[in-house]
Formats: sequence, structure tokens, C-alpha cells
Amino acid sequence: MGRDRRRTGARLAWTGVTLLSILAIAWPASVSASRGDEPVDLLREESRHLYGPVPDIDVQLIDGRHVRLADLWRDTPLLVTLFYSHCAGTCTPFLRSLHTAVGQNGGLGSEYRVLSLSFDPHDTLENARATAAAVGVEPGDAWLFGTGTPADVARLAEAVGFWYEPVQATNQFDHPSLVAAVRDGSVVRVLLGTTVNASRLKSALFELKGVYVPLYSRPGENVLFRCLQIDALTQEVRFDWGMLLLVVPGLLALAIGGTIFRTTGRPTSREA
Amino acid sequence: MELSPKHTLHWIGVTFILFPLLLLAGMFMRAIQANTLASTQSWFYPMMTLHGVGMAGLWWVASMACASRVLTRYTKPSAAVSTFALIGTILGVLLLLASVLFGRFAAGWYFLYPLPFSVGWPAWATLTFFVSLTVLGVTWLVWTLDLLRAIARKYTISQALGWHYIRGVEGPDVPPAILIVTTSLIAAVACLLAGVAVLLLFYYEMLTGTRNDALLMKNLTFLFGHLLVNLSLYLAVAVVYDTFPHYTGRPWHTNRVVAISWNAVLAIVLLAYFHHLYMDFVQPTSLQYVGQIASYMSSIPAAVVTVFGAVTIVYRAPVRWSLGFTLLFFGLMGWGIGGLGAVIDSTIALNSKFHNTLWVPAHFHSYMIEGLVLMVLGYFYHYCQERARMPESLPFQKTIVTLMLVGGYGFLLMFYLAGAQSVPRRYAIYPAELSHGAIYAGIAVVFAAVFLLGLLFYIYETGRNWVRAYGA
Repeated sequence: MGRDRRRTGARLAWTGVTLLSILAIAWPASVSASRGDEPVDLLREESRHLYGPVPDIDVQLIDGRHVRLADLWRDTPLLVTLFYSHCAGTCTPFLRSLHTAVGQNGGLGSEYRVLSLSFDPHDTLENARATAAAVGVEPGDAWLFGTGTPADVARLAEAVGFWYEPVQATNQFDHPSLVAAVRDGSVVRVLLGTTVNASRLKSALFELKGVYVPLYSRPGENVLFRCLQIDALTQEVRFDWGMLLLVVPGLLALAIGGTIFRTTGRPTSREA
Repeated sequence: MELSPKHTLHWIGVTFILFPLLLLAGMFMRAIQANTLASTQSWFYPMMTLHGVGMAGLWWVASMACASRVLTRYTKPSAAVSTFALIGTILGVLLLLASVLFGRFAAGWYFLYPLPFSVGWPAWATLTFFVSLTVLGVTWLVWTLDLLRAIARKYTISQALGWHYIRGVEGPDVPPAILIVTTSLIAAVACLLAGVAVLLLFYYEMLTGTRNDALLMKNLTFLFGHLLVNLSLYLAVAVVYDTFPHYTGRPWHTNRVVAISWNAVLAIVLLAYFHHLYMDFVQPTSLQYVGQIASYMSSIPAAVVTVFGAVTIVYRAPVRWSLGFTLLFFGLMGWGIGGLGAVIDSTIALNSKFHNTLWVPAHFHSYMIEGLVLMVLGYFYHYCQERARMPESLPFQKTIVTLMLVGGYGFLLMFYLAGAQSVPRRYAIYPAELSHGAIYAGIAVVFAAVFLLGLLFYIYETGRNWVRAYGA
């Protein structure tokens, strides 16, 4: 009897150890595989550098002036973008979309300024001026174009979550496109993507004014249970199966408690 | 097999080892915040995780051990299950220690999704942490079900929940401890099932890589976490109900008001946790209102009825203020004070100001340190002393209580003052503009040391009785 019990115990222990081992081996592989295949969670990427400090670097503007970044953000909040002039990809379309979105929201110059900085060490002020012209921006105090030393630009890029890698074969750079909203020397919003739309920019402009705009990363379609379904078009919110999951523990507890009392509890007059 | 005194003494021994260590972990965190141990700041969040999970778990098992012992006066909990619970808890604690000390797992005691999947620590540390919680959860669920089974051996569910008092009909005399423990254990089943659900969802994501809904995970996590701490308190209160008459010589009966208030707890306590999600703007607004109303309804009636009842049976009673009774009494009052802080915190208009400031740890440390901890330690002393009957030195015992009250409330005051000045919680090192936070943390370390001194004296005083009782 005792030996049987010990054998059962040992068998259970081995089963547990085996299951845990499978889990330990399978998990990292499954997670990396699935994460590698699925699209990047944009909000998670955009949130990575929020509220981090921005370095106070030296910037040379296309009119030849040298300014400190802190002098710019101390004056008015800033939208910062990074580009390189001979980009055959997203740089110019991205800046154009920003230009359009800025025009739709208004407030440029009075409420905030835009700084577009080249990250290509070979870009000259003339190159930057040409980019401004290609984008259709009239360079001035509201929208600034400029360059910086490679080390300074690298520090700024790291602070706002921007990266760039030279591609020798094409003489281009591999890089994302983003605009970072900077208030009082901190990143308060990052917008990633190949274009900037007016409504997303609007939320960044609210943040620049000090108005907190909450964000929520939608869990996506491939989720087992969720609390709510939100219709992106109508903004209608309705409960989903996940809400039921919040009720189940309570109902099960009452059922289990009731069952225990029904099956166990039959007090005799002597016991009671 | 009946629950022997040694079963309870084992739990007391475990508490005497773990509590000072976890308290030191808390002091270590405050010392880092005070800039005295700033060089070790990388350990702040692993220690916060260990301190949080450790304390919540420790006081849950300690109050369950007290409740088990009290139940033996009326019914027969299983000794085998108690042993199983002890072994499971020790195994769970060892896994937790491995996860935090070797893996530096640092997702905090709420391990809020998706933080456990952070790249800040190795994957095995996350897995070990979840296995630790699984072992603890399963063990405690079995223990909870066994205590319910033991109660069901003697009482029907309507008797155990005191419904005959509410209906005003004849029925057996049900001790308040039975009523409160039954209420708490049924809710505990829900709490532990919520814990199981959230762990299953974490495991599912680990194995398949399919993401979970953060809102669902947070709701489930707090349904588990909030309830666990609340129910630990209620179990300790049940013990107070049962032990007070021993000192005052006056019976503390169940009546209609007591039955209604504790049934209200069972009906509403499962909804109170919504107040942890006030800042989650995607949570439906209706549930935020439910959170505030449920927080008021589940805590105020039970607390008012209990504190009022305690004061009336102590008033002018020939009480001998020994260490056991004094700690039970001040623990009950501390529960009231901390509970008031909790009710304030659950008020939406105030929570929007206090949330994520040190005011939050202020209130939950209040009902833990000066509430739950004192009640459980009071009962532990009472139990050991009752068995060993070592001579008592009342002046020494008064010194112990004074040190624990002055140290404890001084420590709490630093949290409250810092919270009132908007010092945020969960900062390892305060930036220059919050440097006053470091000053409060430094003073808090001194008060915590005073509390620790009182605790060590307490362990010595109770330990003498424990050793003799264990050897008997």
C-alpha cells in the first residue's frame, strides 16, 4: 500500500518535472518564432523612449547659426525629425506628410516648432536646404532645418528611438521614419510610420501643450479572450468573452462551496 | 488524523524566519531610496518583488494557520492537508527565491502583464516565478477546500453563514469565527481560481506566443491579488473574535448585525478590486462606479461592526493586557485605521490625486504592519503562551508593543507625508526635484529599525514559549 503510494508520488513528480522541462524548452523558441513573424506592435515601439531625456546637442541651422537644442525647447516645444538628403525612400514623403499634417492642425511657430536634422555625416547645409525646398517648407524660425556632428546626432537618435545603418551596395541608409515630440527636454510622444496623419499628430501636439492623451494598445485579432470589442469606425464598445472570465471564479467558488456543504455537511443532532 | 499543536507551531516557526528577512528586504529598498545604498539600486526591483510576493503570501498562510487552529475548537481540519500546505508553501518560496535572487526577476508582486515577459531578466526566471505561484496557488486551494470541508462536517451552509440570524429564526449558536472563516474561504476559492486563470493565460502565451488582452490580465490579477490580502485580514479578524472573550471574560456572540455585515462581505468583496483599475481608461466607466460602491459596502459594515463590538466587550472589562491581547487589540484598531485609508483611496475623486504616489503603499502597509501582522503575532503569542505557560514580564512586553507601535506608525507616517507631497511610488532613486522623497525614506529606515528591534524582542519572548511548547 505504502509502496504503491510512493510509486504514484514518484510518477506524479516525474510527470511534473517532464512537463516543466518541455515548457522551459518550448517557450523561448515559440515566443521568438511567433514574435518574429507578427507585425511590430507600433504602440509598444513608440512607448519605449517616452519621458526619457533628450541630449542638449549643438545644431547648425541652414542659415549658418549654431543653436543649442535646449535653447529651442526652452523657448517653445519641439517636434524633431531626422532625415538624410539623398534618401531614395521615405524621408521626403515622410516630411511632406508631416508638412501637410502640421498645416491641418495649425499652431506652427506660435505653439511649437519643428526641427528637421540630417543624420548623414556627409550632408551639408546646402543639402539640407535642398531637402527643405523639396518638401515645400519655407525655412525660418518655425520650421528649422540643420545638421549636427555625427556623435551629437547619434545621441539624439538614441534618445528618441531612431536608428540608421549605412547600406554600402546602394549608398543609402536603412532607417525608420519618426517624429518625436519634445517638451522641456523630455520625449513626450513618438510617432512612427512612413507617413504622419493629422489626427495622430494632433495627439502629439496636445502632449506638447501638457495635456495627457491616454493610449491603449489594441490586443490585435489573435487573442484568446478579451474584455471588450471596439469598433474602430463607430467607436462602439461592447463586452466580450473576457468579461465572462471575470465572473467565472466567483460563480465557481459559490458552486464549489455549495457542493462541499451539500455533500459533506449533514449535521446530526449530536454534532449540531 | 487531527491537527496537532506541532502543525501550528511549524507555521509559527516559518513566520519567525521569513518575516524578519522580508522586513529587511523592505528596509533595503527604503535605504536605496534614501541614497544610503544607492550603489545597489539594480537590486531594488527584484527586492520589491520578493518583499511584495513574500509578505502577501506569508501573511496569507499565517492567517490560514491561525484560522485552522481556531477551527479545531469546533471541527476537525485535516492534519495531512496542513502538512501538504506547509511543504507546498516551502517549495513555492524556494522557487520564488531562485527566480528573484538568481534570475533577478523583477516584475513586482502584481507581475502585471506584459511585464513578466520583459527582457530585463532571463526567460527561466519568469518561468520559475510562475511555477512558484502555481505551486503556491494549488497548495492553498487544497488547504482552503479542506477547511471548508471541515466546517461542512458540522454546519450546513446556511448555519455557517448565519442565515438563521438574518431570518430571525431558531438555529444553532454559530461562533462568529465560523461565520467569518466560511465567508472568507468561499471568497478565497474565487480568489485562487482567478489566480489559476491568470497563470493559465500566461502559460498559454508562453507556449503559443499568442498575446493576451492586457485589460483582462489586469482585472484577473487584481481579482486574485486584492482578494488574497483582504481575506488574510478577514481570517485574522475571525481569530480576534474567537480570542477576545478569553481575555475579557465576556462572550462575543454572532447576532443579526454581525451576520448581515459578513454576508455583505461575501456578496460584494469580489467586486471591490475594480478600484485598482481607476487609471485604466479603457475599463468601462460603469465598473469604476461599481468599484467605489463595492469598496465601501464590503469594508465599512464589517469594520464598523467589528471595531464597535471589540470596544464594547473590552470597555471596563477586567482585561490583563498581556502581549497577546495587546497585539490583538492594537492589530484590530490598526486594521480600522488602515481600512479607513483604503476606503479613502478607493474614492475615485481622491484616487485620481493619490494614485501612484507613496500614499498608496502608506495605506496598504498600515493595515498590514499595524493590522494583520499585529493580530497574527498576537494570536501566535497567545497560542504559544497558552501551551507553554512561561512566566510573563509585563514591562518587557510593554516595551515590545511600544517599539512595534512607535516604529511601525513612524515608518507609515513617512509614507503618508511623502505621498501627500506627491512623491511617486516605485522609484528606486529619486531625481533632484523629488529629493525630499529620499529624506522621508531615510527617516523611515530608522523607524523600521525600531520596529525590527521590537519584533526581535517579540520573537525572543514568544520563542521561549514556542521552544517549550514544541518540546512538550
